Amino acid sequence: MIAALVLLPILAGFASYLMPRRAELTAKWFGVLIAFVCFVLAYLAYGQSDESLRWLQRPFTANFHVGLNGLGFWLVMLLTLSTACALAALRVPRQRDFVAQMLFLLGAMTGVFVARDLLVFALFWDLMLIPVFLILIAWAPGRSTATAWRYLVYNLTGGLTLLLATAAYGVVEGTTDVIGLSAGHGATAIGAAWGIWIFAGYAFGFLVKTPVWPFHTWMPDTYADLPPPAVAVVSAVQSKAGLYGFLVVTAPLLPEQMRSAATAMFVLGLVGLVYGALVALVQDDAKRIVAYSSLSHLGLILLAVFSGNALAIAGAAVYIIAHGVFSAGLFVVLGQVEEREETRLVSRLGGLDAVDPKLAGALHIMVLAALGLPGLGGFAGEILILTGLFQAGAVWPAAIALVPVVLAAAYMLRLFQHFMHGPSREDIPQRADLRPAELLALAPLVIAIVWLGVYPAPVADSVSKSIVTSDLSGPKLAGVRR
Amino acid sequence: MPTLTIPWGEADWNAILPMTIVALTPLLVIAADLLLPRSVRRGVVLLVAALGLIAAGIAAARGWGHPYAAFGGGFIAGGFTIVFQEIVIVGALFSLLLATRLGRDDQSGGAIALLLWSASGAMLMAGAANLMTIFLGLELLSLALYALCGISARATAREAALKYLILSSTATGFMLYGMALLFGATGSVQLSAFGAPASPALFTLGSGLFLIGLVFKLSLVPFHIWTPDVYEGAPLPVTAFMSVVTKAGALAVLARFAYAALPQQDVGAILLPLWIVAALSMIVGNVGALAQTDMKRLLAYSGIAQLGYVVTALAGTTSLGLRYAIFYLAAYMFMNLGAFAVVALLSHEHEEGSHLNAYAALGYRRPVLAAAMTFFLLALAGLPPTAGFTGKLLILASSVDAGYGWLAVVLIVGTAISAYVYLKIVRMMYARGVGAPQPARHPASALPWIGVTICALATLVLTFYPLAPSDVLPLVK
Amino acid sequence: MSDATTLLLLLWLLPLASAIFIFAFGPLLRRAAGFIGSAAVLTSFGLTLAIASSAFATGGLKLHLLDWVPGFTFGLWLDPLSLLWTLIITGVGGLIHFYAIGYMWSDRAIARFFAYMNFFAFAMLTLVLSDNFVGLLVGWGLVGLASYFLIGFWFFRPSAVAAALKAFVMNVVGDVGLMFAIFVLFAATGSTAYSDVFAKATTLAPGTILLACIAIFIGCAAKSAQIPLHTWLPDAMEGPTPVSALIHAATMVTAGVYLIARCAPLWDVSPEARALVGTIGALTALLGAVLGVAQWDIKRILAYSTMSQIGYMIMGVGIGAYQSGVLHFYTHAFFKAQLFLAAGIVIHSLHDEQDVRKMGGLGRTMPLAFWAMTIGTLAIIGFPGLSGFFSKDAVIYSSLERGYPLLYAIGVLTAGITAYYMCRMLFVTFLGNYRGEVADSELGIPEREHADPHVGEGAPAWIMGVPVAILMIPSALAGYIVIGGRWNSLLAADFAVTPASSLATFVPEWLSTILVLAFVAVGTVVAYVRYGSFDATASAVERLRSESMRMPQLLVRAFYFDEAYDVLLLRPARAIGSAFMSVVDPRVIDGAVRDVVWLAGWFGREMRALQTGLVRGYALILALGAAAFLAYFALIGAAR
Repeated sequence: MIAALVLLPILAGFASYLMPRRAELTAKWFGVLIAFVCFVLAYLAYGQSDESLRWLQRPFTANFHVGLNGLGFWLVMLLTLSTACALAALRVPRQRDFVAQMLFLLGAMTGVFVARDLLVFALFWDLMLIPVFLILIAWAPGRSTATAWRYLVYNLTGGLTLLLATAAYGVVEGTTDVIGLSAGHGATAIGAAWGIWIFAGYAFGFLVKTPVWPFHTWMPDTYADLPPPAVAVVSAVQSKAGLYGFLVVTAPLLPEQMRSAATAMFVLGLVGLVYGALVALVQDDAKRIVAYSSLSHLGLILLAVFSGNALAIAGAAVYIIAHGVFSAGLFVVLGQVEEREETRLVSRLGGLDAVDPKLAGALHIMVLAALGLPGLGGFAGEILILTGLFQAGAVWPAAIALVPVVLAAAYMLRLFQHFMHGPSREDIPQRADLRPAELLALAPLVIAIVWLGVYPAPVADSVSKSIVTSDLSGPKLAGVRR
Repeated sequence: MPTLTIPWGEADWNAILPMTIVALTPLLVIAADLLLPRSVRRGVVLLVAALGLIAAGIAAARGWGHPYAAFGGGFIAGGFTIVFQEIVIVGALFSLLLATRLGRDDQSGGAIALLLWSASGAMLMAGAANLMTIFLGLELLSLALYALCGISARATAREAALKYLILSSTATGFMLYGMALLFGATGSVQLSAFGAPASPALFTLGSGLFLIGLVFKLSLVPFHIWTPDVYEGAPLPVTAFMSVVTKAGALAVLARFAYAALPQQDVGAILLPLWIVAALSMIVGNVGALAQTDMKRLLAYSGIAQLGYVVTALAGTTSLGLRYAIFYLAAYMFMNLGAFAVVALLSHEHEEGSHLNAYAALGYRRPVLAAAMTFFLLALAGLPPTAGFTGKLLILASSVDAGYGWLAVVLIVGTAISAYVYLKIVRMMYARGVGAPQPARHPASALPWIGVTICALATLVLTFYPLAPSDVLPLVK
Repeated sequence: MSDATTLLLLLWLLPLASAIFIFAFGPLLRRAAGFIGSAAVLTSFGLTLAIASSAFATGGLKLHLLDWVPGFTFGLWLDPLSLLWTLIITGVGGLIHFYAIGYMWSDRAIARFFAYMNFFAFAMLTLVLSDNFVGLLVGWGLVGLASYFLIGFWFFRPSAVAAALKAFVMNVVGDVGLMFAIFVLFAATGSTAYSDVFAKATTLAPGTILLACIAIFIGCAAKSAQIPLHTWLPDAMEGPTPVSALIHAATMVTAGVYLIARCAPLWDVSPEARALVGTIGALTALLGAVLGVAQWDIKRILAYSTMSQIGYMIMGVGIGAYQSGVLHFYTHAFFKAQLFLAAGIVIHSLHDEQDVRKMGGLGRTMPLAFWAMTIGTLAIIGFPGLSGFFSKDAVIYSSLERGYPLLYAIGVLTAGITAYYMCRMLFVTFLGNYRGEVADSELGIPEREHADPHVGEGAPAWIMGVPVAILMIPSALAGYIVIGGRWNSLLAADFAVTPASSLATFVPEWLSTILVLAFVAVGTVVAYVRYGSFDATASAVERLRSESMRMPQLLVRAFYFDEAYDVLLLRPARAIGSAFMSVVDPRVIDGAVRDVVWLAGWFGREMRALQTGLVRGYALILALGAAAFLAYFALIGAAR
């Protein structure tokens, strides 16, 4: 059943090519249906016993081992949900081929989150790169494919170092079927000589994929050029794969190396945190504003991941999911605005609230979630992370991390007000407001973000069961479970 | 001076049976070519040749588990040999599928005969266990190829043939000289007798010269220089054939030399240049492919790099390494020949579909073909879910295991570059408005579709069932 | 759960439910939304009264809601302090809701307006009813949001949009301060619940306490418009007048007072925090009053007076005189709301004219507004017998009791200034002759754009009249609650009555009262002479113009706070951001990568050039390679 989560979308992707190319609407709703079915399947499959098939005996044991629980479960829920909503809410040229690619992407990313074997993880990790690349070359605005190349150069390099690290791990440990084993499993066998290189290989892959400053320059262009539904999913889920990797792969398997890298990662995270916020303050392209805001937010999560504090890590889990929801929502709504106004430059828009109150309302909610409004998902993650950081003794990082919170309010509201408020402008087309279907497609995201803000406990528990026992003083990675 | 006695035992017959079949089939082919009316000629000829190869394949498979040493140890049958022979046979079969437009009609029979003879040479190399048989197989392989390269009417083909002839014979000269030195150093032509050379210095020098010849056949840097021109000039089926069969033969000899012949204490020192050459090939091959605009040249360069990967697997001469080298060679055969089959499907009457422009917007003109090509290219780039991915992983693992981490890193770098090469074609096929979309011409023949299908399936299946032959190593000696 | 807790839950959620309902069906409801919204809030008021008694039970009324992770548990807590705020929010809030029906009568977005208003009521209740800091912070942020919504309600006015943004961002600064306080307290006590934190308050290190108090106060300063985070409040007057009355006068801006009173256990053990907060409160009171002198916009005058009065409250609670500080909040809620509503009636009947220079002589034309404004003014300046008299006097005197003579002096002085500028507003607005027809230029009014939201047209007068009339009673009489120490006993559960310092013995309360009244009298008289007397009103136009001309820029520009922020913070941030965007990203980081890629391509092209196609060239390369091989093998061979 868990394996079905991976195979179904991929097969469905091929199946969708059987439809006639003109059947745009059919294809669209077919994609939505499949994504929703996966959502239901994932919900039903939660906590079911793992499924495993032998892959390699030599040079090390590797199995097609998949399981669904913990943070991975929530990410799969997020993935399927955001895919369904994004496909339902937006229109894309050559809908049929696009839906197929989105389904491939869905399957590949699900694979990353259900993989319980490092080799399977690596396989899907590299696999999820391909649909995005294809979408970039076939759907990017204009004729340029420079963005696709940049995406490829960065992410493939990361994927390859990750692959090498996996091979090395397998050789050293004799097996790669280790994801989700008890914390510190690998630490016994892997000496410093190997460990640091293996960790470096994984870390590079994760940092690029997230992305973390200074590996981020592929991200704004990619987000800007991807069609709205794709960017919604990529920013919501693919950007979390790296953090998921840190939490679920390296933290339990290479705790020593995690600790020794903590300082460097803190620096990168903090720089990105402030850097992204400052750039978002002056960007004109709304999608890039959100992109740089992600750089900022994900930097914060990186701090939490390496703080080793159980509370912060619980917050990281919440923030990972929450950020997924609201970034997906933001990109969907921005896409809906672009569908109507043919632009997304804050300098070109204004006063839409007067004509499109529903659209404005939707954007308002997402923007507020993004700036960490108390009561919405972003805030819950933020407060847990920062409190945890402070508790772990990282006083200054926690203090510095508060500055971007203020900046976030500034740039997010700047985005919203330039779009929706001020006197209505004659030079932009006044299109119809959201149709019921579009509104309905947004509803799940809104519900999710409110739910995360009010009661994030299930997600918080998913990654760390041991907050009660974690001592209030020192860092602790043992809290991390899948 | 050992005298070569030839006891005609059943063992020997069984050992050489597959080769014999492949070597004799051409007679039928030529006969059919001469006797049959033009209308059915081509089909029958192909059929006969294919049947011959299949028969040989079955014969070889039946030999599994019966290690024979025929002709006083001059030829060794058994697992190792069989695996390579099967690779050669399959490679030849796929080349035949593309061979429908090989040369002028009145030549096709002869051409196919040459192809088979060349293949039999490769099969001989697969089992050759002494210098004489090695040389015999090598020459049999090469001479036929010289002719094949030049068989098509185009001037470039003639030029290619000539280049190949000159350069290859130079390399063969080196090799022959090396053999002489080896014989002088050890007093034997038997690889198995190289254990304790009388004169190590001479032996070292000899093996160096010997390796030069092999590296040339494997077309690794810096002895790759001939490859692009020859591949481009030669007819498509011949190029496909060379890209796999020649390599298989040469690799078999190299492996046997490295694993069975070299004295243990010398292995490290003597083979070090080989690993360096492999590293160079992985970089140079991929970088060279960056700037190519012709599919065959591009595949020539990519072949250089791919063979670099294969040799990397041998680094440290571990038993696992050998198995993964063979596995990757097989995987490479499928993905490479699959790509060639697509090229063949894009060819038409007077032009081979090898220029990159032929791929512009292919994804919208011929979706299935484009999808297949994408799959093969992903495999060549080592991306999942393809045998290329699994093979690369295994090679990485074995080289890390053998303590050649630096080779693993070079391999990663090479792969990163290669992705750029292969995905460039993917972009051409799917990006909008790259080049001018051409009218879909009717391909010369539908036969290559068989090749595309089988190769695709094999490439996919091998990803999840890496069938590395288990008991190869004992049978090398 | 007992029925009391049920009612508590109900009164908390009722405004939210009504807000969601109105938001969902707004277009259908139109004006009905106003009545629904008011009904919801007034019902909450009734429920509060119903369970008021249970708040005085020991420990108050508790209701546990949900847990996030250990240390982050949420619940409601009704005790005397939160009861007081709840009553004001729902009671005064209800009246203002009702008043707003008339004020927003003809606005096409009236439904949205009431959705926001109800949402604010819900948020404010969350703030005061929460039993832990995180829940408080949630309410804290949500009231900020509601205020942002309502300030920018007329979003077609650029000035309103800008004001809304400013208010929100400044309040986020406050939220951040509060967050930091939560870090400190959680790290020290392992919990965010009031009960746990305050239980450990005495055991914590003084440094920790002080840090926490400062962080908390940053939140209070932003929310309650204290120096230096006060600049958003005057701009917030861009919102409709009922909003100003409810959010920016009666309830939200007093959240800081509530929080400090709530954190009394922390302030009790940190004298430094008391001194700091008390001083800032006093300075804010003074600054507000001084700036109030220079304003011409009736709502901005009231805004500065609000700022100034909250300064009093903060000073009171800051120095530990919680009872008097809270008392001043309680009375202020009535008379300030009344002042705003009265001003609203004036603005409404003058069709959005807010500049007092264009008014005058309104006492005759609109008596209700006049009397309401008069009573309000008398109350705020502390006219004996009216509510303000008791509370403000208590605050000022308590600064002496707690031993802060300097603050006392400031308090007394401010009382005088308050009397002056409030009476100035009263006289200029209601005495003399109507100046509505006089041209702006003659009155020295600079150019201004009229974006006219058409407030309240066609509304029956009584809808706006009744609430104002009702509010007159408490704003006149609310002060008598202190008689016989009843006030202190009401709040006994929250605040212990602490002994007065020796200073109080030198200056008894009656003496202090006389002193304050003297200052008030002076202020009032000066105001009368300048604006109220016969010849003053006779030559009003010239006087006002010359005064407008001679008004010192320092006051008009409000001591250049905005300009300072712009130069010191906003511009640098934008500059750095654009530098990152246009230089670092493309040139430095990405540039490096692009160079590598380009290098590979260049290498490839070079190698292509190597492919001459000439056999001799190839042979040469072949020979070189072979030579290299042979050299190597000759070497290792020789080594044998």
